[in-house]
Amino acid sequence: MGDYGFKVSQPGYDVGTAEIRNLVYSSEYDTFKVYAFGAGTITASTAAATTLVINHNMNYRPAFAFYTQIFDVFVGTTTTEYNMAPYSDPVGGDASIIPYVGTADLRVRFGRQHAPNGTPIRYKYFLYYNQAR
Amino acid sequence: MIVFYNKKTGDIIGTVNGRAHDKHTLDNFSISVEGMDKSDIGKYVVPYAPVEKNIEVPIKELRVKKGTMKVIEVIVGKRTVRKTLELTPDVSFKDKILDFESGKEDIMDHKIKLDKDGTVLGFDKKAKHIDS
Repeated sequence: MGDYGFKVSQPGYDVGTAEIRNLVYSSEYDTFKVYAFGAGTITASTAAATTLVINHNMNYRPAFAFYTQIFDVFVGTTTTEYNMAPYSDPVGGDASIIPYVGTADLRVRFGRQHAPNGTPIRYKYFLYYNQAR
Repeated sequence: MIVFYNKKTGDIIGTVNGRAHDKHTLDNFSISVEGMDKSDIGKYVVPYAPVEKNIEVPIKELRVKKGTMKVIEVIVGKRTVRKTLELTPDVSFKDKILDFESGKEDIMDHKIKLDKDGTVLGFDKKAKHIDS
């Protein structure tokens, strides 16, 4: 990039001399651009894996972030906190939570042994315009 | 805000947050669970309407100050203009939507309320599950 562009520094830093880590924004670097974000609930099934389908139809694989509650087998309840997926269950079996993105949708597979049947599990997602490599 | 829900149970499967969505999102985005019949999934796009208000704004003119020959801005009057202040949910249960947006209430603690024709009437808080 040449000597033009746009940047914003954190309070207390001169925008003309601030290091990159002290900038709030710089047009010299790419940023994540949010296409859609939201939340939801899936209901665990022990009969088969449950796959959430977030249909984006962007015609390319977008970058994403997926956060989910997990069923804590050591406590016996669903966590209030959200974990960043993928999540591998320490007990093993078909209990992991695995997100994967395609050109039409973001799918998240909740293993059938992850939680007791009927357990509601909440999630949050972000889909970005940025393309996943 | 767009809400995807189970038509049979009223359970909320997922949301797309935000007040303004482009045509691509409105036409193409959906949230479901694999194996679920698509006809059992409802989509509700919360309608928003602009809040407008008449506001008085100054009428300004640029004049040259005698002596210094500097250009100065002078207020010569006032005029009334109609301005859009914000968007607000255009539904009878708008307070509920505003609570969801602000985080005061969690939409996931609610079920969607529908009439027999499937028209959205609002959101009911789910009964709290108490472990014995």
